[in-house]
Amino acid sequence: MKGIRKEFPGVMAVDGVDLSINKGEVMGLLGENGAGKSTLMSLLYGVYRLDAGTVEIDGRRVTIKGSGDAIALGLGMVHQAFTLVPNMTVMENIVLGSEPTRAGVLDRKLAARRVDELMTRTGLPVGKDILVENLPTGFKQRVEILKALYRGAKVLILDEPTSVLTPLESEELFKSIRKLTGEGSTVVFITHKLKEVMAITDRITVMRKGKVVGSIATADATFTKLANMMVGRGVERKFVFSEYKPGAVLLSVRDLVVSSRLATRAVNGCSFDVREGEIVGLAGVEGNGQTELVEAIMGMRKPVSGTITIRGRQVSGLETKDIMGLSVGHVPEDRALSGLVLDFSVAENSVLGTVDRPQFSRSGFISFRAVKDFARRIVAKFNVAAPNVDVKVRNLSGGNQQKVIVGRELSNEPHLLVAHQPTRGLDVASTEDIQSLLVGARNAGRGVLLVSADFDEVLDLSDRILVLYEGKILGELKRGVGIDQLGKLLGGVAE
Amino acid sequence: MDLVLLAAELASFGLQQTVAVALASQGEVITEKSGILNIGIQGTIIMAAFAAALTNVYFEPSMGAYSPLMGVLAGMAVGAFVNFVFAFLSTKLNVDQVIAGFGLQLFAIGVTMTLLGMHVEGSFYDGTPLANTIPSLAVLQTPLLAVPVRYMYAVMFLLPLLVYLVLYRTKFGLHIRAAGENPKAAEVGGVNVGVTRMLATSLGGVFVGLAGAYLTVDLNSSYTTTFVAGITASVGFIAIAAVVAGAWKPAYVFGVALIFGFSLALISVFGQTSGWTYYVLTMVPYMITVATLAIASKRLRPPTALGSPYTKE
Amino acid sequence: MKGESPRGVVGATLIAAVPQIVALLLGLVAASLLILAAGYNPLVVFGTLFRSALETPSGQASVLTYTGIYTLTAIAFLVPGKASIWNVGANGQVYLGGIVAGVVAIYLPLPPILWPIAAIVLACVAGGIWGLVPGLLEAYRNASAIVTTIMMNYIAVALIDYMILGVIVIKVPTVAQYNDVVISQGAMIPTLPYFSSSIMVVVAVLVAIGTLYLLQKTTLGYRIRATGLGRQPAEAKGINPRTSKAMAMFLGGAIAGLAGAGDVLGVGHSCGTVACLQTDWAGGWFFGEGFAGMAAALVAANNPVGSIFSAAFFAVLVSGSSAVFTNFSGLNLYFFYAVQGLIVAFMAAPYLSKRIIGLVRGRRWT
Repeated sequence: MKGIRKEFPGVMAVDGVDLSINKGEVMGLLGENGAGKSTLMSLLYGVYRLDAGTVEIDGRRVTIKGSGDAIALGLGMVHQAFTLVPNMTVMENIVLGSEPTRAGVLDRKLAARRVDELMTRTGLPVGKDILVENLPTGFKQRVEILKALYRGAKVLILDEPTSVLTPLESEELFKSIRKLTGEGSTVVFITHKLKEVMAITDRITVMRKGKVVGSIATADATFTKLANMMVGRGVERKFVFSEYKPGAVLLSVRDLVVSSRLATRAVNGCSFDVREGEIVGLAGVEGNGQTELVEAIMGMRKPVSGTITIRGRQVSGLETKDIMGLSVGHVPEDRALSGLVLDFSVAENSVLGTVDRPQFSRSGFISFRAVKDFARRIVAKFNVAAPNVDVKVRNLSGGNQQKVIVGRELSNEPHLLVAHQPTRGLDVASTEDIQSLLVGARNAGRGVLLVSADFDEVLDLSDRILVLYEGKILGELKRGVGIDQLGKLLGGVAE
Repeated sequence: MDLVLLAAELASFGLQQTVAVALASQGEVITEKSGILNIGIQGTIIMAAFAAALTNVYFEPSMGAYSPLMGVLAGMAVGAFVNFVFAFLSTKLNVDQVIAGFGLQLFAIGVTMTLLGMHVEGSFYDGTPLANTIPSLAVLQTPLLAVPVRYMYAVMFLLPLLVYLVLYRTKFGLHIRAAGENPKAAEVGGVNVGVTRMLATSLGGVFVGLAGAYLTVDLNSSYTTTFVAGITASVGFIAIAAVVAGAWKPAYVFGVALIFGFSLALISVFGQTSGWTYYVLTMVPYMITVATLAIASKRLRPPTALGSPYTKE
Repeated sequence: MKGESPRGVVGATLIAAVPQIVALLLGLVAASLLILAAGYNPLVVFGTLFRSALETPSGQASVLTYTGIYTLTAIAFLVPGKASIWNVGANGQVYLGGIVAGVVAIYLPLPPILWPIAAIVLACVAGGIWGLVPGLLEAYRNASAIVTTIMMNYIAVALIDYMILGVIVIKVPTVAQYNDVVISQGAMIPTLPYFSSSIMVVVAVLVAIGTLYLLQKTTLGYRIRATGLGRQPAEAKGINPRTSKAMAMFLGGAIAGLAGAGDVLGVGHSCGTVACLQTDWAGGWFFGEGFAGMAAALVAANNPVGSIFSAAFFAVLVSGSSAVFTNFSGLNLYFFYAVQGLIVAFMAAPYLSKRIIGLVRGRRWT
């Protein structure tokens, strides 16, 4: 690939990239969130159209206008967000787009045979007739891989494959990758995790802010070298923590059981406390019950059994509004879905949930002067880059949107702050800003429940770390523990 | 004795009234399964009905008793075309499907009625039924139970099966369902979502058009303002409701269509036009529709991408 | 809003309006093509239409009356729209308002000023209930409002015919006796000076302004807009989307009911007897008022105050249409609906309008 460029509104995602991939190797594409790795590969796969640049395969120049072309050329891609149709079976999903037919009628027997063959050959068995929506994440990913292979992919592009897997599932994936390359396939492994890229790849190409920083053989790489290439400065981040003197108990969860949307037990007997003046990090790979736990605490989901006590009051069954009224702030997991109304202005978003309070409205009539002043204070104090408070929040960058949310929550001076994946998808500068804000809150005597799958973040910030695995707290660690101990617990291995 | 006659009458009218809803709703199932929400099928029905009637009249001198067939074909073609236009607007121009549906429908009704006003030919337009329509077969030899059977009844019963086979047993059907659930996945898998949706909607339009043709050429309603604004005017919307209530599954949708159709039949069987019972009965089908939706909608899961336009970046 | 330079707000509104106006013009162009196809000169036809509407006293009165009605039904559509519910039931809600107003006007004699006010209030409540039912069904049972409101329209028509022809309320067993049952003067809404139209149009403008205020400056409006623009964030922050949606539908229905009351009690429209209350399937005058309002709202990009102007436009179209019908045979009432439909269809494609504007301007239009 030479001279690749792609621009999205407001963002130069990929800027003059040259990249070459050799046959039979595992090439690691490393970079921070937003560096352009996924976009680059998506361009190769035909999901997006190139603004500029050329692609050559086996020495021949090719034009890829759509995924169909890419597939025909032997490329296959497994995305971060699964592109499976949930209420179709595994087999239907695998053969979608190249179904064996007899005069237009689906030949199920032939399809079944071919899929079985594929599964045995590659050592990736999955139940063919299960509806995809009922599969655990690791298996869904397997189906994605099978899909690509069914189509005859010689080059398999995996986009952040381990972001949704437990360490054990990741090991399985690595085994499969080694098997595939053993059979002559080529694999491109996109990730932002240093450890993995060192473990599985032959060569590593590092990207930063849409450009390629460099390519080195894995044998020559070290953590520090790679980290420097990725970030451009030392990865060490130091926060100032005041003395650890936890105060009164703010949040107390006992034997909590919460079911998920699929009626399984997402939270299966959880107990823990959060006190004033501490950050409790709830670490875990996504999908182990974090979402349901946070929803239960915030009154968005009714628990099956167990108790949640906030500042002395039993809250299971209360409405979200009332829980917020107990001085609890919430930075939600997905800001676009649950944190901000994208088409509202900064000012309007700043009072989302609090607009009924006397300082903002009187008997149903909103005082916009009060609201805008409040919003302006947030913008100033939390360093939000916005021209004024009347712009629609949609027009702000992800980092600034998140700052609006955190700023809003903290400005309401909550005793307890529940932060769920607060820095996911943000650039480095914004991530640091947000993390400093959390530390600042903790130093000021607030209690913070930090639920995060960014284990570096959890290790850096938390006073105490609780590991959530399959709905239970598997263990508690104190500040200063190493990633290996954390990793074991994350994989489900209890002490 | 009386009860038997009543049952026969009910069955007769019931089937009669069900056909249009059943056909249109099956067509809409295909359309919606591909992700396109066509609210305006009432317009398609009206246009198809008009086209069918017009073609019937046109071909009468040359083809005699076979002219209704031409009418049916014309209706199906017009149905496919109108739906195609709608699908084109929805996929290529990314219009808001609900608004476009209403607009198209309003336009369709307006245009056909205007054309109606402008053509003075034939007594057909002032309320007299067509001379040539599809004949019905008398069935059941006993003189007590004479439930006329129309060819369309057979079509109506077979269509859900056909739709099911297409959707769940063919490659095209797989593409349709994928386009409706997760167009991104389909696109990535090599399916051209836009083309699939247009084809699916046009195919649905064939059956919707057939429903329209049935109304004029088979059931022989006279094409007047009463037709356009009367009970038949709600066929399209009842069909849409049937699709929702039947959870987008062809067999269930047909079942619901039968219920709705029979409730429409109650009006013909029990209501005398001058009495107040007529108006009460007129309300019944719609109340049943609302009630059905109220009960059924909570647990339903429409095709995930229904109504959302899909663009390639 | 407060603190912003007025010129900025007006300017922004006008800029936002351009795609809508372009779409409107496209609709008219398409309509002209249809007129051509019918064998007439579009300029002549539109000329007749505008002159009849704007130059004759009856035309002017009609324009005022219909502006009032369409503004109200436009608001009835757009308020629930802000909560992301499609209220296509304005037709039925208008009917309900009309019949209740009529009943009060005939059977419930009250002292002078109180009488019309009571009729109006009850009409609003009736319309509100008619909108509330589908609203609740969608909010709590997930039943698509589009379909349920349309069904409610049909039920409304049947209900009213039943009540009139039927035995219960009006007790008029045969058609011949309709004209004897008169709506007395005491119940009528006051008339404008000089024009033969009721003050409903003024009320409508006030309601439009009030709606804008409600949406932007009250907590209820905030909740409605939040529900429509971001249901999940709103819910996560304690705003109950279900109650907001139901409230929005009630308001929408009530405003449509107000329009119905205006129809029956206002001099521009009613003829003072029960006969005028009866709808028949092919269209008592109520036919299409809800849809016209919807079209007006769409043209005005769901802006309450803008709807006044788009409503006026459609009012002109309707008022001039009878002149067109008499002078050009073949262009009948349904032609007007076709034009309406075209305009609505063009409203559905803002993308298209923006592309055309972009072509004209030589660069992309945001």
